[in-house]
Amino acid sequence: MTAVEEGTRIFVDPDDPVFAGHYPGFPILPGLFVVEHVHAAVRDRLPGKRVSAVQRAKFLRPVFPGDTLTITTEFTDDGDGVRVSAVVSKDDGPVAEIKLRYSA
Amino acid sequence: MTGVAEIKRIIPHRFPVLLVDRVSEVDPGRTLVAHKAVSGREPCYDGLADDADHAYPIGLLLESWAQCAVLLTRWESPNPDVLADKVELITGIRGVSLLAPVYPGDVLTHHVRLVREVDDAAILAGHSTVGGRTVLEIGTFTMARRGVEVLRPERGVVA
Repeated sequence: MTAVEEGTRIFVDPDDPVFAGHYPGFPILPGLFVVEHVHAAVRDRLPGKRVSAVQRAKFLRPVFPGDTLTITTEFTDDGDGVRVSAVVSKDDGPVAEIKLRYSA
Repeated sequence: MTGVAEIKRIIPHRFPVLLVDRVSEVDPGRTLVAHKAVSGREPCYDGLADDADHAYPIGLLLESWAQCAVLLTRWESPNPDVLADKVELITGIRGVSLLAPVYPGDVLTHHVRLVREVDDAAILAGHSTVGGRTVLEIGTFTMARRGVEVLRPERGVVA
């Protein structure tokens, strides 16, 4: 099974309290929160499975408050699990490539 | 034993995303062991449905480990204010195994090992345990230091 999903969009709200602490005077989204956004975008489509691996993630550019992210995902069944390959982009290009694995 | 006040003198992360409570062992330039108590009072649980999964979000779990990585690399060159120095950015992570969910009440023990550090880049690895059981393995974590002035989003846009 391979399926490509187009475009979950996420607005990075400048009022999110995270930015008060990351970092004072220089708000920037923690790169690993982008991994959380991808997980949140796909987990409901994988009932009965839990995220078991971050096989690889590349962070190409930082994400700032006010950015809008588009998450494009590809699902591949690998037998006893599902691999999710995601590209996270802003309007002017990709910011991260993230590969997760879900298993029972 | 190094607590939150000392941790704040070394890394720039602050509430509500300072996700390290205590450092118990450090061998500067080599290894660090630190702890983070997960609480049901953390903002990630605010408004969560009663019947929802209360596992600690993986983004916060990984970020907590990553802050320990920054602590190790900054132990002898503290960076409490990114505006006065550079900012650590994650550039990649691979080979991460999430072995068991973490719940409120768990105390994470993060183990961090510096694999290599060159100029403004570092490679680290490690794992995390809860009650002696490994819950997280980090194959490779890479980060880079950048000056905030080259990163500011408005740069080149605002007249």
